[in-house]
Parts: sequence; structure tokens; C-alpha cells
Amino acid sequence: MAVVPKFVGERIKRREDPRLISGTATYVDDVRLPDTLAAVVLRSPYPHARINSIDVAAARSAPGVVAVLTGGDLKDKVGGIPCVAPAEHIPFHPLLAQGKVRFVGESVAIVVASDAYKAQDAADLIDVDYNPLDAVSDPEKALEDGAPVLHEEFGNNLVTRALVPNPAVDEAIAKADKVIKFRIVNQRLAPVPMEPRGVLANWHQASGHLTIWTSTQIPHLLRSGLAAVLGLPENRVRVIAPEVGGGFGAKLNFYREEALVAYLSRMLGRPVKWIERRRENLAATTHGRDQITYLEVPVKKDGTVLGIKAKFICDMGAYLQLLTPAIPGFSGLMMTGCYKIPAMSFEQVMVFTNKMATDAYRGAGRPEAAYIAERTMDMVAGELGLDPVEVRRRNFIPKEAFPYATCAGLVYDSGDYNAALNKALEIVDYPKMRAEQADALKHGRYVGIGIASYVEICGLGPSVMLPPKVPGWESATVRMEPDSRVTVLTGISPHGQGQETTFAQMAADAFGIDIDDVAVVHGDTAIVQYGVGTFGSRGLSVGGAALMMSVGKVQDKLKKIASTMMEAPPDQLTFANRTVALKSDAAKSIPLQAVVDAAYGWKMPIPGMEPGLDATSVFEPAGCTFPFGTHISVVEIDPDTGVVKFLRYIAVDDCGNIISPLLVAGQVHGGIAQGIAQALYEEVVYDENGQLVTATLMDYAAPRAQMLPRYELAHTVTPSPLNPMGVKGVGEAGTIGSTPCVVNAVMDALKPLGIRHIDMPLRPEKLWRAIKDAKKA
Amino acid sequence: MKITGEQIMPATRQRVWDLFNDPDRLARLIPGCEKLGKLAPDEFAGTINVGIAAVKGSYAGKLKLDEIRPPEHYKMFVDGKGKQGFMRGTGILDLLPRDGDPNQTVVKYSGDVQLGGPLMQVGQRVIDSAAKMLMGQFFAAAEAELKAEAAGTVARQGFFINFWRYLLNVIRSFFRRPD
Repeated sequence: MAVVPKFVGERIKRREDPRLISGTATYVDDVRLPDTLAAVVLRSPYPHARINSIDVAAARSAPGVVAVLTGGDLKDKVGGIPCVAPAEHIPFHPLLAQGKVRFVGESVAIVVASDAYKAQDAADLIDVDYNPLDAVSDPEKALEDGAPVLHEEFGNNLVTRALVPNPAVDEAIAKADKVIKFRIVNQRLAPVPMEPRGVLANWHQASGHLTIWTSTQIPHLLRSGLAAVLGLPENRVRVIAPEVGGGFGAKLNFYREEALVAYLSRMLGRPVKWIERRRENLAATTHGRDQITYLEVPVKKDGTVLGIKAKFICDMGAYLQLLTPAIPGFSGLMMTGCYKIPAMSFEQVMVFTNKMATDAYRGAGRPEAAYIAERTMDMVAGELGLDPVEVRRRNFIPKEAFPYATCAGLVYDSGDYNAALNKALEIVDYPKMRAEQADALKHGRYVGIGIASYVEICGLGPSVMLPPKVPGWESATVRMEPDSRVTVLTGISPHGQGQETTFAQMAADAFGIDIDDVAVVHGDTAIVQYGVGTFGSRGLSVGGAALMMSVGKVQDKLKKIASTMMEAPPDQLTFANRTVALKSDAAKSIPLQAVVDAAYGWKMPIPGMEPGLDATSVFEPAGCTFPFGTHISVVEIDPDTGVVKFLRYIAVDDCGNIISPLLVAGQVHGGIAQGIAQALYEEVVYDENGQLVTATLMDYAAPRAQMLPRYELAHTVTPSPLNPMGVKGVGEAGTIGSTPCVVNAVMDALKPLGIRHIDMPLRPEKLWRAIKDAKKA
Repeated sequence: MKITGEQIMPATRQRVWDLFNDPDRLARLIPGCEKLGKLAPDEFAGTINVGIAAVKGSYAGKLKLDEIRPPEHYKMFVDGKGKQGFMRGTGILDLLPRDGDPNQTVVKYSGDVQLGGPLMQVGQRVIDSAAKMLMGQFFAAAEAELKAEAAGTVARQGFFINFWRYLLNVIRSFFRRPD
């Protein structure tokens, strides 16, 4: 018998990739049902307007049209889109605008026709009489007296005010050698998944079953939400997330179109499909970030940071999506970063504006926090004339201090921040690089070195850390089939993370079988037990832990059976090369298949044992994991054009133990790309009237390959004590470390010109102006 | 979008004023204008057909005048919409005699226009230059109209000829000496 290799920790190619790169994967739009109708949504061109009337007569009688719905048709027939995060003011969030539109792109009507072209032609015939109202797109202006009010019932545009007070911060400010004050902006970003959203709903009249295919990260949570909104029993709703072409948090949500299309399929008794177009995606899929932060940082002369006091203005957009007001919380709680800052306090003012709602976007609150912490460290270094490395070292939480309770009340599980920093400094050869930088400046070249030592919060988590109805546990079923192959049903819903590979690696090693003998199934609520979903880098640390619990249960049963067959105690047995063998003597073994046959009662049933080989488990972590690392970038800025060129990019990430090195590298690559894009390129722009300016990919600068550097990756390994694999999560690390790292590098390059801070994105035009102004002064 | 500009017309203020208040003649001068009529002495309504970038469409709108002081000034409110979006805004028009030549009139205009829908979302990166071009065509047409009027003839108007007149003006401007 061939020796089955070990898989965990090895460079295994993603088993998902062949179907993805050969065009044979099945996305929502690839699912074809007979007699499917196409839906097109009519959206508001106004950021804020009252709807006087909607004339749909011409659209209803247009060729191929089956149905046209407006807000009035749905009134009191369906619920609204839920927001589960607590907030003072949660407005009703209708599926179609009810009498008023509040952002450009808000759904006003939906047309269903025999094909999407006919539906679009009919939508063009709908005459909406709008009465335009003043709009507000600046969150600070939205709070002023006299600003246009989005939701009249609240009297103003306040969503909620969150206060985490601490008088110790004010004491620190009073006794500090220096208090550094600044304002920074985490601009609004669009997640831009390669596959936009899409929904196909099929109502089965005879059985009263609704099946819905949708591009989502949370099939089970969506099932609960849909059932509630449509008034259906949950056991008659099936949600399938087929191949999902990227989510980045934007598909960790429940959208109007999902409920609308389901409603229409039930109303018409036919399948209805809606596929989002890119312009709709940029206007009506959730955005991320959009926080303004005012900071006061008391410091000692030697660079010791005594506290952080922050005021956040958080732009929530016009309505609240599933988790909208929950996201800024992470920014506040994590803003002390990897530093033993003794006191912090913050106030967060969340605001309605005439824009699309914000919600989770890769990092969800932590990129903002890391940006605050790491810009703070560089500000401190700059103001005190210290090296940014020295300031970080002075303030790091020492590795002996873990588990470490931060002043924000979080408990960091494990860490060794100096190790990651040292490794990154070693790779870049820091002293030599500083010497080269000084030399370059003599020749009029602006080279900058940027450092960011980040820590983030992953593996969500204990349910108490999450809003109601979004629990923190995860589920997994492991079934060894009669042919001794393994099926894994996971409650997470991977959409690019690659758990069909990692979970197969783990299960294969656990049972001593080949990776091809493991099938990982996910994303279908009719097949998979209730689960929570994929977000917050939780797939492996929570979903994988549930998997290992079930694996253990099946192993135990196999060992119990084998022990009667081998006359050896179960704890002396192990799995290797498709056998159950004695730990002490691998030669003494019986084939795995023989044990499985016994378990299924094919022959030689074990008296008193329930036949079958499957187990379902739920893992709820005792705490969150806190991955960390140091990113260093070296950039050069062309003073004549403002263009930023990368000379080096080093990422040292510590995500605990690594199950799948190739997948970790892939996650880090993608994360850095999106983080660099925030630093240098991307920004969702609404003009002062509330019109969306970045409405196409001609205007929204999603990065292309030539806009990104070559990455030099390395790792330190500090296992987490919170799950059996010792893993932490790496889905968002790249995004969190890279943004401050690049901004710090650019600011370091411009330091000789006396430039202290420029808000992102650091586009050439912005840098060119700043350089020109600085040279003039 | 903010628009400002200045053009010199070869006619007295009164004749320019009359032209700018005559819907039938204006309809011939405005690029893409399909119809234009007077609802009231200070209110026009009409339809224009314009294509900006990939966004082509027909827009129905109203134009209301205010602060009318013949023959030198009015303020206008524009409100139009079509299936490709909407435009609304205000504009100010001033007619000033040109120094030393009562037969020439300086037309000063400024406006603040808000656009929405696909017109804005797809067209915004070219909208400034498109607006400039449309204004240029309009004034080229107006100039031809006024010259023909002075000569007692009728000017040919139409999209292509006015586009050509506009192009000629642009080319001429390259060779014009600064005043």
C-alpha cells in the first residue's frame, strides 16, 4: 500500500482552483432553471427626494413584462431589512422606497420580464415624479443644526452615540510632556468583489418550498432573515450559496434584492433571477470604512504613550444594513494596537447621510484601528525626534505579559510583537536602508521607510462579542462514508478562502487517508447543519475547531471498534496509511476499511453500538484570537509627478500555526493589495449634493497588478491557546498591516519637506500639490 | 458642475436679447433641441436630445426666468429629466455693451448645474468638456444667426453645420492674439 503523505503544514495547491480557472465553476448566474424570469431594479438618480407619484402603466404593458412592483405594492406585505446591531435610531429599511428616496441607487421599483433586456426597456418607461430635497453627504455637516434630515421621525441624523469614557486619559493628558493632536480619515471604500451580487429564487408551489441561490457569505443567517421578512417557516426555505466570487464583507449581509426576488418568485410561481450590474454594485452594495477620527495622544519625552483619546465621526449612510453600527466598535476597542497604553477613551458619533450604507469590509473596523495606532506611533516619533522603531519597542506589550488585558477590556491571547518587528527589520536591513535613504535625499530623491506593527481581532468569537442573531459559534459534521471516504459538512461558507483544501488537509491527516478522499461541502442549508458563516477570519479558527471536534468523535468510535478487533486499548491506536495501527508498532494494524465495515454493520456488528460513523459538533471559542505582525515598505516619490513607487514590501505575519502555507500566502497577497489600494488609490466619492461620482470602474480605482509591488513574505509562529490547532486567522491581516505601513512610508519620504500628514488615498495629484506647496513655503 | 464663460456676439444688446427670448429661433440654435415653446412670458418648456460619453438620451425640461431686466440680465432655473438622468440648476445671463462698439455685445454667463443618474455617473469625467462643446456650438450658431439677420438673410442651422462652426472657432482661437 502506498504511503499516504501528511498534508497539514504542506504547500498544497487549492483544490478549488481547477474549476475556477477553467471556467467550470457554478456562480448564481450559471444556475439555469426552465421558465426563469429576469428582474431589473429601477434606482433613484436623486440622493434625497420625495416621490410624488410613480406611473408604471407603460412599463406594465411593455412587451415581455410579467410584473412591476413599487413600494406601494409591498406596503404591509413584507418586513424590512434587518439591522441586528444595537443603535439608538434604527429606521425602517424597506425593500422598495416608501414615499422617499435617501441615496443614489436606492431601489424604487422592480420589473420582471421574460428577459433582462425587456425588463430594462420596461424599467425605462417608468415615470417617477420626484420632488428633490436638499441632500447631505458630509457626515460632519449632517450633524449640524439645519442639515437636511433623512429620517424625519428621529428629528436629526444621529444613528447612535457610543461612549467609552475613562477619566484616566484626561489625567494623562494633564501630566504629559506633550499632547499630540491630529485628525485622520479612513475614507469610504467599495469592496468590489469580482462577482457582483446575484439572486435566483424558485418557489415550489406544490410543496410551499422556497429555494434561493444567492451570492452570500452567510447562507444560514440569511435563511433565518428571509423566513422572517417573508413570513415563511424556516424549514421551507433553502438558501444555496453556490460559487461566490469574492465577498470581502459586502456579502455578509441581507439585501433588499434577496427578499424582493424571493417575494416575486412566490407571487408569480416561477423562478426569478436578478444579477447585479457593476454600476449597481458600486452604488447599492455596502461600502466600508468612512470614519473621521480626532485624536489626542499624551506622551512622555522618551516616547512612552500614556493614553489615547479619540472622537470618531462614523458615516453609516442612509439606512442600516445587518451590522452597520457594529463595525466602528472594533475601531475604538482596537485602537491601542499592540501597545501597553494604560488608558483610552473614545466617543463615536454615528451619522445618517445620503449615501449607501457602510458595513463590514475586509478588516471591518480593525484597519481603521491599526491606521490610528500606527499613524500615532509615527506621529509620536516625528514630534519627539525619535526613530519609529524605538517608539514601537518602548510601547510594545512584552511577550511575558500574555494573555494581556488591554485598557479597552479585550484579552489578547498570545503575542510576541518584537519578534515580528525584528524579523521584518532584518529582512529589510534597516540600518542600511536608512543610510541609503539619507544618501538618496542628498541626490534629491525622496525615499521613505514605513513600518506598521499591527494586531487585530479574529476568530469571532464568543457570542457575547457579537450582536444578537449573529452568534459566534460554528458547526461541523464529519461523516466517514461506507467506503471509508470522508464527507465534511461545514457551517462556514467559504468564498475564496479555500477551506475545501485546508479542511481536507486536516481531515485527511486525522484519519490517515488521502486528501482526495475528503469532500468538503458547504453553502447549502438543506444539506449542511445550521452554521454561522465566513467572516472576520473565523473560518479556520472557529469552523476548523468544530471540524476537529467532530473528527475526534468519529476517531473515538473507530478506535473503540478497532480496539475490539485488535484487542488493544483505544488510546494505544492511531490512524496511518488507511489503517488503524498500534502507536507503538505501526506494523501491527488492520485496514481502516475493515473498521468502517464493522461500524456500518456490513459484517461483524459490534454489540451495543449504534451503526454509522458521523458526528456533528459546535465550537464556541472562549475568546478571540489576536493575529499580529509587522509590515515594512520602502517607497520613492517622484516629486515632479507625485507618483509613489515601491522599492520593497516586506510582510511578517503571525497567524499562529499554519495549516496551509500557500493559502496563507494567497490571503496575505490579496489583503495587502486591498490595503495598499486604500493607502494610495481607492475612494468612494459622493459630491456635496450626494451624487455618486465614482460610479464606474473607470472612476473607482480598484488596483491592477502593475500598481502593486512584489511581496516578500515571512512569518513568526505564536500559537493561540484558544483552539486545538493553535491557529489565529489570516484573512484580513494583509489589509490591516499594509495601509498604515504604506502611508507611514510616504509620510517618511516627505518628512524632509515638513509635511506631517496627508489623508488617504495618496493619489499622485494630491502628493504633487503637497510637495509643490511645501517647496513654495 | 459650474459653468462660466463669456462670448462676443456681433449685434446690439437688444437684438441679442430678442434672440435669446425667442423660443422658435432658440430651438434652432440649441444643439439637439427637438422642441421649445413658451408656457408663459417667463417660462419655456422643451425637449433636447444629447449624448455624452455612452449616455445618449432625450431630456424633457422646463426653464423659468427671473430677475428679468431687458435687455441686460436674467436668471434662469433649469429642471430637466430623462431616462438617463436629470439636470437641474440655476444660471445667470448678462448682456453688456462692448467698449467702443454698440454693435457688439458681451454675453456673460454663469451657472451651477446638478446632474444625476447615468448621465452623471458615466458621463461625469467628460461632462465639463462636453458642456463646453455644447455651449460653443450654441454660440457659434447664435453668431451665424445674428450675422444673417443683419444681412437680411436666413442662416443655415443644424447640428453638423454648428459643430463645424464651433470647430472653426476653436481653430481660430488658437491663432488669435491675446487682447
